[in-house]
Amino acid sequence: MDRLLGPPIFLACAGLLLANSALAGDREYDSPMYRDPVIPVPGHVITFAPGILSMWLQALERPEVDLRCRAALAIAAARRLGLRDTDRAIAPLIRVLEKPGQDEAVRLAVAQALIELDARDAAASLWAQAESGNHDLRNLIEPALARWNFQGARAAWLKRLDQVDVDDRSLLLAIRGLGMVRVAEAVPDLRRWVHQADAPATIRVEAARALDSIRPAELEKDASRLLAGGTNDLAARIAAVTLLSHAQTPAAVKLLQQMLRDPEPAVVRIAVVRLNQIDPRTVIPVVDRLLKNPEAEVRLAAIEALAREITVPRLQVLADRCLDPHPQVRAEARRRLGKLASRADLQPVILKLATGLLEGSDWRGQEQAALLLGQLGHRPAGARLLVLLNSHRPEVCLASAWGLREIGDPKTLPSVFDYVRDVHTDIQRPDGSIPDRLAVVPVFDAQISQLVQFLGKARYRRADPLLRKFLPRRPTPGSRPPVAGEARAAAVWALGLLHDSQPDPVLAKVFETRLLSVFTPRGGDDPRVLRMFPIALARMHARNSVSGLRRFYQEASAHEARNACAWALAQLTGQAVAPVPPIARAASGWFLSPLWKVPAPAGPRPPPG
Amino acid sequence: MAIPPRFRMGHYEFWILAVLGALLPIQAAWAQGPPLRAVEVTGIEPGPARHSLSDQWGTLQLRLSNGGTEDRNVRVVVFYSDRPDIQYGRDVWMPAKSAVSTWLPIGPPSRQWIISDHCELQYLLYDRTDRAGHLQLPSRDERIRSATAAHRRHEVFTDVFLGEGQSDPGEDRDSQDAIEAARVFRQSAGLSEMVGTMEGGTLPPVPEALSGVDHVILAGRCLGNDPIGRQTLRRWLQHGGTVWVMLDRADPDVVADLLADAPAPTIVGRTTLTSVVLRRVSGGEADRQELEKPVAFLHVLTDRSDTVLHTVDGWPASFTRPVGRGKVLFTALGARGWYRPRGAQEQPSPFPEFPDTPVSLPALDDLAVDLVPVGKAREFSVTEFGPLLSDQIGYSIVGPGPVAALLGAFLLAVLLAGVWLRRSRRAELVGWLGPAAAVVVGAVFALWGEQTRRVIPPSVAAVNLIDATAGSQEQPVTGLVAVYRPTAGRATVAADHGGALQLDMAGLQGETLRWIATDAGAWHWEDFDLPAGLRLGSFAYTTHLDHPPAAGARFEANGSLNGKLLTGSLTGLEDVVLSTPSGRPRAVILQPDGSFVADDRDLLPGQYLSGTVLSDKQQRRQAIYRSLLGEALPLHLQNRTALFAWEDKGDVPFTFDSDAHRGGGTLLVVPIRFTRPTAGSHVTVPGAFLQCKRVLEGRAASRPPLRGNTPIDMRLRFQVPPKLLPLKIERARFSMRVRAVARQVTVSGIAGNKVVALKTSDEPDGTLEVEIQQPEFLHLDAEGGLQVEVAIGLPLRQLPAAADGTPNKDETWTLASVPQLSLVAGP
Repeated sequence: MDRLLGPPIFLACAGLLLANSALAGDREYDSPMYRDPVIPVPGHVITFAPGILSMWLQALERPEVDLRCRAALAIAAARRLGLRDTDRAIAPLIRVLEKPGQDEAVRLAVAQALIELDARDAAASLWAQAESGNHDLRNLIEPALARWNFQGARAAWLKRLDQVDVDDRSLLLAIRGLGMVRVAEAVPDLRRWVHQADAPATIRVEAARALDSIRPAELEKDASRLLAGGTNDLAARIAAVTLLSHAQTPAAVKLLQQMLRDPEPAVVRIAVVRLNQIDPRTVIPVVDRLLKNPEAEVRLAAIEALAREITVPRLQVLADRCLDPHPQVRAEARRRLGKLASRADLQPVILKLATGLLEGSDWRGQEQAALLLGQLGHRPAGARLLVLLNSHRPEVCLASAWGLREIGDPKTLPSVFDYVRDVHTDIQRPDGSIPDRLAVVPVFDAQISQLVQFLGKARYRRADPLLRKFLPRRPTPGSRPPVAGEARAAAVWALGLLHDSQPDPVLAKVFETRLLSVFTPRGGDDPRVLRMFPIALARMHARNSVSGLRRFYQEASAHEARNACAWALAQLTGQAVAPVPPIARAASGWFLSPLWKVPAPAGPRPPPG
Repeated sequence: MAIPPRFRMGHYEFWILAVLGALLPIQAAWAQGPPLRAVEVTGIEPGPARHSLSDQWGTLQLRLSNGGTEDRNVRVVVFYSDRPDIQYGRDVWMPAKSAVSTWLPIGPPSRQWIISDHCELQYLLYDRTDRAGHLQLPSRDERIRSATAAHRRHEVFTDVFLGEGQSDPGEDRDSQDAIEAARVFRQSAGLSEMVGTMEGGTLPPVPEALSGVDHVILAGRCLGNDPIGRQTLRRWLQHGGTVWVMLDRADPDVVADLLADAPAPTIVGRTTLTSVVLRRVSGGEADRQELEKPVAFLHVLTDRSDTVLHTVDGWPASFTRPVGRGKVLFTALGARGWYRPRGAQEQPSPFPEFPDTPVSLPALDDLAVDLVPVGKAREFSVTEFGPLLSDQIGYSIVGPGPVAALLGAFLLAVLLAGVWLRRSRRAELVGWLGPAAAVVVGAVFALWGEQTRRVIPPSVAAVNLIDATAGSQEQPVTGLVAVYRPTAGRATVAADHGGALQLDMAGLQGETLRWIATDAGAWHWEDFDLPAGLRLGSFAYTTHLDHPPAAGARFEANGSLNGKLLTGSLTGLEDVVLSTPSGRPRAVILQPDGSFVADDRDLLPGQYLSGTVLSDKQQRRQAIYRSLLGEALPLHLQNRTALFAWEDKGDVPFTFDSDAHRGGGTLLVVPIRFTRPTAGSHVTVPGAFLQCKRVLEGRAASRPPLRGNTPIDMRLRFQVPPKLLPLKIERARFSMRVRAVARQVTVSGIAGNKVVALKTSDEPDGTLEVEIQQPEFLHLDAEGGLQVEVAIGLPLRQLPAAADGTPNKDETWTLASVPQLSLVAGP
C-alpha cells in the first residue's frame, strides 16, 4: 500500500500550502488577496475499486499466510482512508482470528484490522488472543481494549501489579490499562509502585499517570511523600507533579506552588500549567523566576499567567518577553499584548512599549513591534517601518512590510512604491547581484507581496506600470525570477483592484492569455497566480473573457483557479456557477485489487450561457 | 489468377493440409500451455526498503495483472541474465480480473554486475493453475521477458523510514531534517551520500526484506499500521541490525515493538530549544549551538540497561540499548540539533551532489563512531562449528596418515619387487608390475573411500547459536548445518516457518537450481540434486520460546557471583562459561535447578572448561570458546557479562530428507542481569567485571595500549555495571602485570582535578597492586566510572643496544593484560 495516494495528494497539499501561506508554516503574515474574495478550496474524495473488499475477503480465506495477513492489513488501511462497508469484514475477521491453529502473523494482522475497525464486539476474542502468551498480540491488543473500556481484562491487569516475575512491559501495559479503565481496586498497588524507590522510573511515572487518571482521594499526601525525598530523586518529583495534574485542593495548590521552585524545568512545566488552570494568581508570586526558566513552555505558561492577571506595571514585563530568544515565546507575548490593547486603559501604554521596541536595536523586538503596531493600526509607526524594510534581518523586513500594509497609511504609499520599484530595478541587474539587499533575499517574495497588496488595496494607480512588470513568469529568458508566485499573484490581484470597473482590454487579454496558457505546451503558471487571473478579470469587467473563463472552468485541472473562474463567471454573467465538486482520487498500491479504470475526476456542470 | 495444374491440390492433399493447419496451433498451444495472455507481469523493481540490489540477498516487488475471467495460480521465476542456472521464483494466486502486488527474495547478482549501476534480470511466467506449470511466452515480439533493476555495490547503507506516504518528504521540513541528519551522519562516518527512504507501506515478512540495509532510521510513522513489518524490523535488529530512533519523530508503537518486552523510553515532556548545549557523558567539551528555529527536545526516562552518550540540560539526548546482536540508538534531540549549517567560507561537503550538506557537531561524530565503528569489528563465524558437526556426523575423508602409509607401502613394494626382479634377471617385468601395483592401490583407495562414505547413514546435524535477547520470546539464531548424503540424488531442502539457509553450492555449477518462495516463510529448492558427500550451510532464523532465557546474578562479599539461569524449554545445559567485560572468562558451576556460581578466579589462558580430562566433544567446544572469546569479543558481546552454555539438541526449522539421522547442539548465550546487593550488605566486584578504557580528550575512548617504547600517562576509567548503581565504594584494588625495565611506574588516584601518586615502582616486572582506601579517590562519576592514572616514565638509565645494533628489547614496556580494578562496596 506504499504511496497509496502518492503524488496527486502531494501536489494538492503543496498547492494548498503555497496558496494559503505567504511563508510556509508562518501564519502571522496573512494576505488579503486570499480573503478577497473567498474562493472555496475543493475537497477530496478517495475512491476504491468496486468489489475490492470482496476480493480481500476472498484472500482472507486463502491458505497462504501472506495473503491472509495482507488482506487484513489492507482492510485496516482502507478503513483509515474511508472505505465504506468495511464493517462487513468484521465477522470474517473474527472467524479467522478464532480459527484453531491459526498462524501467529495472521492473528496479529487480523487483530490490527479489528482494532482499526473499532470492532468492540470482538473485544472478548481479542482478549483471549492477548492472553495466549504471544507478546506482540498482547502489546497490540491491550491498549486498544483499555481505550474501549473493556472490563474483562481488569482481573488479569490487577494480578500483574502483584506478580513477582512479571516483565516490565507487561507491567506497564497493566498499569496503563487500569488507569484508562479507571479501576479503583488498583489504587493501593499503584501507590505501592509509585513509592517504590528502586522500581524503574518508567514504572513509577506510569503508575502516577494511572493514579492521576483514576483520581482517588488524598493524592496530595502521596505527592507530598514523594517530594520529601528531596531533589535527588527525579522520578519521584515527576511522579509527584503527575499525581497532581488534575488536582485542585488547597493542599494540592500549595504543593504545586512548591514545585514551581523545583530545579527541574520538566517538573515546573507541569506544575505551572496546572496552576494556571486552577488560578493564575497562584503563579504570579514567582512569575519573574518562571520567566527566566530555560524551558520555553514554562515561560509561555508564565506569560499566560501574567496576561490573565495583568496590571500596567506588568505590561513592561510582558513587552520584555518580545525579546525572548524563542520565537514562540516572543510571539505569544506580542499576541497577549495585542489582545490586551483592546482595553482602553492599557492601549496607550502598550503602544508606547511597542514603539519603544520598534525604535530599539533588538531585531526580535522590532519584528514583534512591527506586527503588534500593524495589528493595532498605529500610523505613527509608518516612518520607522519604512526604514526597517531594509533591516539586516529578514524577519524584520517581512514584518515591516506586513505592518505597513495592515496600518494602510496613505502617506507611506509613495515610499512603499519607491521601495518596490527599487527592488524591481535591483533584481533586473544583468549580473543578478543585489548586495545591498542580501538580508531581504529569503523573504523577497513575501515582502514584495505584502507591499504590492498594500498598493493595490489603496488603489495607488502610479503603481500600474510597475506591477505589469511583475507579470512575466521569467523577467529574461532562462533567468530565475527573484520574486516568485506570491508577489506575482499579488501584482495580478492588485492590478485587478487598480482597474476595478475600468476595463483595460489589453491587460485583460494578457490575463486571459496567461490563464489559458495551461492548455499549451510548456504553458501554465504558479497556482497562486492562476487563481488571481479570473479574479482580476472579473474586477475589470472583462466580459470578452467570459468564453476563456468558461473554458478554463470546464477543462483545466487547476481546481482552485477553476473555482476562481466560477466566481468570476458569476460576477460577469450575474448567474451563480457551482464550485468544483470534491475531487475523486483513487486509492492505489494495494496488494490485491480488481482491475478497473480509474474514473476521471468528476467534471463540474457546464456553467449556464 | 489461374493456377497451373501441377500446383493444384488434389482432394486428399487439401484435407491433409487442412488437418495439419488445424493441428499446428494446437501443437503450439500445447507447447506453451493453456492461453494465459491475460496474465502479465507489469512491474519488477527492488524494494520496498531498499530500492536497489546489492551484492547480498534482496527483495523485488512484483506487480502482475490477470485480465482473464478465471482465477490463476502463477509462478514468476526471475534470474540474472548472465546466471540462468540460479533462479528465484514466487508462487502467486491471482483472482480473475485483478492486479496483484507481491514480493520475491532474490540472491546476490554475479560478479559481472558488481561495478554496474544496474542488473539485467530475466523472468519466466508459468501458469500453474492445473499444477503442471506451463511456461507462458510473452505476447510481444521478444521471446524472453526481461527487466532492468537498479544496483549499487554493497556499502554501509542507511535507510530512513519516514511517514505514511501521504505527503512528499521533499515538502515535509521535518522529514528533510531527518534525511539531512542521515546524510551528515554518513559524511561524518566517511561513507557515501547514499541515503534510502521508505515512506510508508508494508515490509515483506521475510528476512531478506532488509537485507543490504545496515542502519534503519525511524523518523516517522512508517510501519505504524504494519505489525508484521514491525516484527520483520525487530528480527532484523535482533540479528545484528542497527536502528536509530529519532524519538521526536518515531511512532511510539513501532519503538515499543522494536524493544520486545523491555519498556520503551518514557517521554515525560516535550520542549523546543533555541540554545543547545550537548554534553558527552564520558567527559570532554560540550557542543554549543544557538538556533533561530527551535529544535525539538524530549525529556525521556531511560532504562538502566541503556547507555547514555550525551545529555542536554541533564536529560539524555542520546543513548543506546543492545537488542540481541543489534543495537538501538535513541536520540531525544531533534535532527537539527546534531549539525550546523555549512558556512559560506567553509570547504564544500565531500558529497558533490550535496555540496551544502551541513557540518556534524562532534556529538554526531560520536554517534557515527558508535554506529559505524572504525575498523572492521571481529565477527564470530559460524564456520567454527564445522569440526564439531563433522564429529557429530562421523564422516571424515581418509586421513593423511593412512594415505601416506598405503602409498609408502606401495612404493616400498615396487622398490623391493624391482630389486628382487633385477637380481632374478627378470627386470623387464617391472614394466607391467609397477602399473599393476598402482592400479591395485588405486582400487584399494576407491574401495576404502566408498566404504567410509557408505558406512555412515544420511545425516543432518546443526549447531545453533542463540544470542538470547533479554525478556523476548523471539530469539535470533544463527548456525551451521551439515548435510551428509552417502549417495547422489534428489534432495529435500525447504522451510515452512521462516529462516534463511545458504547451502554451499560448490560442485553444483551447470545445473539449473530453482529457489521457490510459496508463502511468508515458506520456500524450497525445486528438483534439487545433490552429489554424495558432506555439505555445509550457514543459516539464520528466529525461534519462538514461550519462556525466554534469562540469567540474574548478584555479587557476594567474597567476590563470587551467584545467580540463577532460567532457560525454559532448553534443558541439560553443560560446559558453561561466563564472559566478562574485561574479556577474562570465568568458570561456572551450574546446578540442575539453574542456580550457578562463578568464583573470582580467572581461568588459565586458553582454558575455558574446568576439569582435568575433557571429552572429544568438550575439546571441540573449548576450541569454539577459544575462537569466540579468545581475542576481542564480537561487537554485540563487548562490555557485557554473559553466560555461555551448551545443549545437546540442534533442531532447525528446515526440512531435509526424512530418512536422515539428526544431531547437533545449541550454544546459548544469555546476558547476565545484575541485581543490586541486598540492603546493608557488603559486596566485592572482581576486576573482571569492570571494563577498562583509556580516557583520551576527556572521553573514555579506547582499550589501553599494552606495550610501548615511549613514556606514557594513561588515565584509565573502570566502568561499574550500571545495574549495581548507586554504589558506595569503600576500597578498591588496582592491579596490573607490568614489565618496565629501567623505568619508573606510578599509579595515581584522581579526585576532581587533583592527581595524587599512590604507589611508585622502579623497574617493575610482575604484578603491581595498589590498595586504594582514601575516600576522595573512590567517588564514582555520574555514569558509574572510577578513574586511575598510570604513568610509565622515561628510561632511568641507558640500556645497551643488542649485538646487531638494534634497540634493546627491554626498552619496550609491556602490560601482560589490561589493568584491573576490583571494588569493595558497603551499605
